Amino acid sequence: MYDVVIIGGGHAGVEAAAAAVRVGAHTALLTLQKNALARLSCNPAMGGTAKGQLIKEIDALGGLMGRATDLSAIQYRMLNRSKGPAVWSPRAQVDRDGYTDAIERLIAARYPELDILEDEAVAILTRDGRVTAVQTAGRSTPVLTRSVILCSGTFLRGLIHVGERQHQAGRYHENASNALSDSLKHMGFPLLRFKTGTPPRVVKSTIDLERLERQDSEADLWFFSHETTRRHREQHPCWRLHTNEKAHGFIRARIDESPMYNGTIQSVGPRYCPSIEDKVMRFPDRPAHPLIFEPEGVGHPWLYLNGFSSSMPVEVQLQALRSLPGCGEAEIGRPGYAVEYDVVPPRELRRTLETKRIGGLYLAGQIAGTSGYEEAGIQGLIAGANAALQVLKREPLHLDRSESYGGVLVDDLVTLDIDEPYRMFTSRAEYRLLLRQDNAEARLGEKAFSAGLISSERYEAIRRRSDRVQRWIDRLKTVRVPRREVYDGGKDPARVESLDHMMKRPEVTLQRLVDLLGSDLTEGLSLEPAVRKAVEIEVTYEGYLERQRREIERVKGQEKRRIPLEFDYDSVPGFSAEAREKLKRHKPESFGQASRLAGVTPSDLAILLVFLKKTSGGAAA
Amino acid sequence: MIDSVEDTIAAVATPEGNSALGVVRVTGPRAIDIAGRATDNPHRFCSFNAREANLVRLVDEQGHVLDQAVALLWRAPASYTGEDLVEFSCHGGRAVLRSVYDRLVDLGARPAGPGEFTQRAFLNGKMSLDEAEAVAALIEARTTTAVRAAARMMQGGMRARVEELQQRLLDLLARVELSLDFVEEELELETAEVTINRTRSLHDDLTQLRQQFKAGRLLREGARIVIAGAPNAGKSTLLNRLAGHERALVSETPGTTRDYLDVVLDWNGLPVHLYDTAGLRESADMIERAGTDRTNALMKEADLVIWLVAPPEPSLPPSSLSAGPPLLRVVNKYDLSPGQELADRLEDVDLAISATTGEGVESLQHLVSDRLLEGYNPDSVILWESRHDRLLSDTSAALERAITVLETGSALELIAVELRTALDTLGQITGRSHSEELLHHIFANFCIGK
Repeated sequence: MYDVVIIGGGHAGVEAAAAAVRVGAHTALLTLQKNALARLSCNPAMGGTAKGQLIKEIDALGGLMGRATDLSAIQYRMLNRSKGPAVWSPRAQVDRDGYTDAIERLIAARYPELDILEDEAVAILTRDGRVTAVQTAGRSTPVLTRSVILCSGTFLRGLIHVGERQHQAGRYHENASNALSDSLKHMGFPLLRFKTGTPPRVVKSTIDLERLERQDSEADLWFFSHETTRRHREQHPCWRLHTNEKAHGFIRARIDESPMYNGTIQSVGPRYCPSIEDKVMRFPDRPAHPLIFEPEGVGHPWLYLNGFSSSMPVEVQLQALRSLPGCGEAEIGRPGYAVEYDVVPPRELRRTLETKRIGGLYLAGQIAGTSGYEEAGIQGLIAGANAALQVLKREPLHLDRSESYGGVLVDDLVTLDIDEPYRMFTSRAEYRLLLRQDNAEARLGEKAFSAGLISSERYEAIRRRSDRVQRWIDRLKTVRVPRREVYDGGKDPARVESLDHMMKRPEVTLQRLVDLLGSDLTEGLSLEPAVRKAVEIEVTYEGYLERQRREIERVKGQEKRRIPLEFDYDSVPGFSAEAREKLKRHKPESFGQASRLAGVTPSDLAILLVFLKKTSGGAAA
Repeated sequence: MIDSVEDTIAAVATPEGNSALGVVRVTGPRAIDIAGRATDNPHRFCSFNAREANLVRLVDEQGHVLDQAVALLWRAPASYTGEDLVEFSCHGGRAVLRSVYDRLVDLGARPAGPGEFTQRAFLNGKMSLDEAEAVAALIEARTTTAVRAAARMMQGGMRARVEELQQRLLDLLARVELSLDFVEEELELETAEVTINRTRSLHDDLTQLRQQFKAGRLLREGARIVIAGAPNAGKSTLLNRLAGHERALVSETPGTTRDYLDVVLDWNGLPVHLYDTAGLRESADMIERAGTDRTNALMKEADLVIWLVAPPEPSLPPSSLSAGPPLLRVVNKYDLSPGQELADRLEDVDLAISATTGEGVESLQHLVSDRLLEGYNPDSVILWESRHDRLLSDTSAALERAITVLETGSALELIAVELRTALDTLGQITGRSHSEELLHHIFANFCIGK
């Protein structure tokens, strides 16, 4: 009997398995292909805006993604450097096979107790509304387990479209899984149908890369994982180019053959990731769209054509491609395609990612409505930790919106009615200034440690660092010198001011203060780069950070105010019709969740509060 | 985001309209602290016994007296709401009640929602469970009233205007967010200069909108018009002329008017509170100086100041007034030749009158109402709620901060913070939330995604 069985070995699956083992559960990972863990099905890159922050959070929670990225990274770039520290976003090109390899090595080395079973799950068995076992195709008896984490990606009733041809598959040459969809339906879950797509892989030797704009790794050294200290791979460039009117013309002429346009695909694709045919048709005034050739890996014969996602017939993809600069002789290694798959609407989930319907069943990744490796990874980690914590009868791991992108993601999933694959953006986080890539450990260290996801040594190190940051801030607030000792001093150079005050000026950096004041300032304090960065941001953004922290404080109580899942919304008079319907559908777990449901007004909430009090006799607070 | 149930809330508890007394109350964990800080002696306030009436002076930020009031305080849990509770019985009049209420909000209280005092009473166990439905019904009813009131406020194109501003703000923020979240799409982004200009123009239009709301308030609550100027410029004579009877004490000795006088008038349907003030001049006389202080305070709070000058030497309005209410510069004693010479000599004179003969006084009345109701469309019924004004003024403040941040060339993420604050605040008027709308707007209007 397992404590936790994970179905699916993608990014959600491996983080779930690793997290469950870290917490201390007897865990098995069920996958169709043992040697294809954590495959990068779309672009060979990790991170980017908001996603880079998510990887840092996964790392802070003891996950694998950051370290595996560093082990396979062949190009590092920090996006948004000029726009402020909260939106700095780490991104890396990785070697596609190297990433899978890194994950497999990490699991083998760190999680030897994890059972990896190569088999296909065909049904999830339940008794009295609780998971009991997983029926597989290859075993005569079910795999008994206390909980199941379903991370099936695009495999549930996966249907691949290339032009007018379709075939059932989860990834290009990998079999779809249909029985599990029936199993979910049988348990009473509603299913949605989402769509996503990927661009063609182009044969590298057929492209004249000399004619394209080269984009290299940046010189600055930084890493995704706290444990990485160097670059592990030789760095490689990408190549930028643009589409042109000629290519657009080919696409336009045969737009009727696109399954998205001729009605073959009815499911909803992500608007933030449109196909090239979408871009051409929706923005006819734009003469060119940017594209990037990304290496599939070192020595790999293919390039990934970022920006050219398409489900047009292969010959149209090729025709359009060959009209681009340097691509006259291009050959396609594998055409772009669209894939449709089943999704459980994530309002079915609690914030532990356990379903409200079936005890012990957790969902993570695309099956729960998201898109992206990083989004899948953080969910897998949260689900894996919580499944294990539940079996071990310990406190669940809840991430708040105010402390992490992971919290924003989970909260959005359970409160929004999503109608397209959900991707993280920094603009989804109302406390964006606090959720930075540089402070993930400080934000999540305590929760990670309490859940058993990181060691006490690591937690101690995190605490010591936070402590040093605080001591620096205190020092800067207490040391007062005349302005002229630090900068020209404006109208009143003799005026004595505290250093933190002067640091609000862009030219007054912490390093400058250290250089100018020496041991008067640094006595008893050390200043490693991570501390310096944290101190500078805390001091220069003080007013803004304070504002956001006050706001968090103000609404904190609402998350603590629980609503029982069985609360009878029909027994309450006074709700608006829209609010009643929303509340019944979503069954919010907390007052805070209820407040974020679209259509639930402050007066609906006031009424809800009154009746919560009535039914619970005061336990609501 | 909904309002918390743990913070401190304030409300004007007595119904709208002028009455002899009005009650402003505040409840919550910080009620006594906030209420105390609204008085001239917070320390003394905190030591008051519960359920004992005490006379207090309510003051504004600068220490100017807003009103003298009777304060009653209850300590948790022995109060109606079960939390600390303070009630101020003030001298009626919406203007006074509003200024006290505004002061409490400035000090950190949140404007209470419909039925919220009762709701707290219930939540804190001050009512039996059977009353839950009654409370719900009350909330519902109050909300309906509020909705109806809001609908009335929003008639005559006002709602459309707020929504139009919202839409523009959304677009502005979307463009900023676009450049933060979609960095590799090579989108043609706006220059900082364009963003500043768009923000400024939004701010200007918002100011205009507030102006229009203000006209509505003036019609209901009356305009506060202050007659000010140097000693012996003829202020009291003008007041008497306007009031139609001898109200203020008039004498030839400069500085006769020691305190301000208040006359309520009706000018073509616009209720007017007319204040005569002590002449502004340097004075060694303590009583007169006190009068001057009050005059300054009064002018700042006024909706319009009539600045009266008379020969021989025209005095200038204090510079502190430049950011204050609109000012009409009026030359008095136009019936005499020194007055006429002065009017000819001075630039930017709005009007010349003679308070003694009444010449030009009617024109003055028209000029005042024109100036105050500028941009106001008499066909639109505008219901004024302090909540709306506060939200508009908060929106305006956030936009001003955004402009400052833009001008200093700070990081784009900070501009986003201010614009988002502005948008959220405006959204509280129309009840529209924007978190999802923002991304919809981006997806719909820009070619993003790889």
